[in-house]
Amino acid sequence: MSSDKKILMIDDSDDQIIFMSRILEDNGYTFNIARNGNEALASIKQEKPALVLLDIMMPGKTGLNVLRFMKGDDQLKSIPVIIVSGAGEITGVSIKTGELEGSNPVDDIVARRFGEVIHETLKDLKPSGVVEKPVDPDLLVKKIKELFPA
Amino acid sequence: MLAVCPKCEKVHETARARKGARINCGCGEIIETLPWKQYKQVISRLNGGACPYCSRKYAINQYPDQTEIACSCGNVLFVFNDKPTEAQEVKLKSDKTIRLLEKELLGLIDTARLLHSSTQNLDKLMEMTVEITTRMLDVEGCSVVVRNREKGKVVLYSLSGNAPSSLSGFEVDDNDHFIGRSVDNRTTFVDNQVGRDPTAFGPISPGGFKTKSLLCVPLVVEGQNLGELELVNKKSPEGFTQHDVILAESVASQIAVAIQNVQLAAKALKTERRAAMGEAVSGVAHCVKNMLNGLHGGMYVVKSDIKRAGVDVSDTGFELMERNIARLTELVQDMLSTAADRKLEMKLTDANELARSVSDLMKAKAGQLGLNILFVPSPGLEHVNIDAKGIYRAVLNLVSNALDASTGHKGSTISIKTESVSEEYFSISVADQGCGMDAETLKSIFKPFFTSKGIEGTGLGLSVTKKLVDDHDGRIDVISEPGQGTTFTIILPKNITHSKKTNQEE
Repeated sequence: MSSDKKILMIDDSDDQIIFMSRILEDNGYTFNIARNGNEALASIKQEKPALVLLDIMMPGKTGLNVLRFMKGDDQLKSIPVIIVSGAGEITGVSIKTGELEGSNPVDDIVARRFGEVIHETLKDLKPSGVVEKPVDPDLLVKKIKELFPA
Repeated sequence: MLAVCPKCEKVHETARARKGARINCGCGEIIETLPWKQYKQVISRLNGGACPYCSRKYAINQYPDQTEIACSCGNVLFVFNDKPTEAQEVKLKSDKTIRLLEKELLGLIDTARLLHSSTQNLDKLMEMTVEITTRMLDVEGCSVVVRNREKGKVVLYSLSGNAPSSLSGFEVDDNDHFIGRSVDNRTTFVDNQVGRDPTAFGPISPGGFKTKSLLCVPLVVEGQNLGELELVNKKSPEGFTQHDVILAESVASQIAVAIQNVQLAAKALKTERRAAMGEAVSGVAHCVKNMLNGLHGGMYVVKSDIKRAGVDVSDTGFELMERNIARLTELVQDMLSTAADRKLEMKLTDANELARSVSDLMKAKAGQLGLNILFVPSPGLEHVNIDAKGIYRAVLNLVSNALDASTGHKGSTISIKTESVSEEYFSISVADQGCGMDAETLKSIFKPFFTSKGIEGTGLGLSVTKKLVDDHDGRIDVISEPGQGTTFTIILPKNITHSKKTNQEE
């Protein structure tokens, strides 16, 4: 376990941070935390993370913004990014597949459009993985291990 | 002219006897006819000044050469004059007719007013209808029967006449046809010699009231039969005339519209309320979802803490919490499904594959419970146009319910069958051999939040299913016998030709 290889967790929700921190700790990972897009970019510049867990729905700069920045930077584009987001649940559109979430009756055209935009952008930017909230700890760990063997 | 015997007070009608004539009363007395002023006094004393036919106060009309005591019910009581001229006779008759027509016209106006009345209450509307109609058509009794399509029942409203008031609001099954002659046919029915036909029905009354004449008019609006107006015992010897029929029919058509207005208003109100509730529920549900995610994460952290502390703690507590979080999540999903006015997402689907996938999914769970699942497909259902996701969930819900109903009936079988019912319709049925449901339960199963599973059930599954089936213009049938089992059958069109609710996939 290399202690200089840290994971960067980006999420504006305290609850989510507490939860994911524990998952990472229990599995022997060390990490940094950023609570919004700007903090995230500052942290990345300061210390290149080995892997990024990225939330999308954040005020100000969304996760999409951060992802686009990373992919546009020669030094950063190779860092694996796992999207951890509840956007699918909120908008009723699966950000993975772009399809309407069958069990979610969100009938709001605006919300759906939002979800579709996220899906299209992710298709374009190609993150290394997408995990939907509520997070299944085992699934998250599995995905991390695939990209970043501790 | 009238003469009143001073001895026995018997009233003699002397038909235009002149003043000063003499009459032999049967009691032996010889009477002299009196001038009308004195008659007036006599009449007042006799009847309290009231009409013997309708008990209302009479009016005294003075014409140039006669004096007339007439009642507003149209009956002319006494005429005092010398022998009336032909012209006067004609006038008398036409006055009578005018009064009658006036009464009918006023009745029609009152009925028309009903249409504009703001009464939301069907009972009140019926009360007014019956009162107006009884007066206008001069009958002893009147009732209105209104059909309640949703309940499959027919309701008897406000009787007048001698029928006991406990019959008002009396509900009868739609096919228990003893009420009303016209409820299912659309023609007016008249019978002026009731008593001969044993199937004819009149208001029931213990002793005294007998149906002599009957007039039944269907209440039809836009081709739909809403019920029936029934008039009993016309207060005239010849019974119901063609004139009465025409009058009753015009009243009936207005009543039908008034009833429809009340029913539509009630339905609109119900829809509005449901929409409002739906909005409220959605708002709460979204908040709760976020909190549920928080609980989910918190549970993980606590478990981890305990593991780190090396404390040996049983799993029971966590299982309890996890189970309830799962239940809450399901409930929130169900609430959102119920509240939302989802559009159908139509897709050409293989109905057999859909049913088979439900069967496959539930096989494992059934096996654990010691139950069998049998799937029986049917040919010709490869391309039905339905909301596949919705119907899948509906069938899944039915099978899940069937499994729950079969606990305690180990070894029994749950059958999932598809069938082509006709050229236009197909069915998916789920039958179990479990505990079944009694008639009382069956009445309520599609109501939201009704559940017989106690704390385990959300009570929303069937109501969501029913809404989905209704949106397809389909039908869901239930047959159940306590102790023997239940069969649910969803019947759907193979291809909805037109619907405002579909969202066609190209």
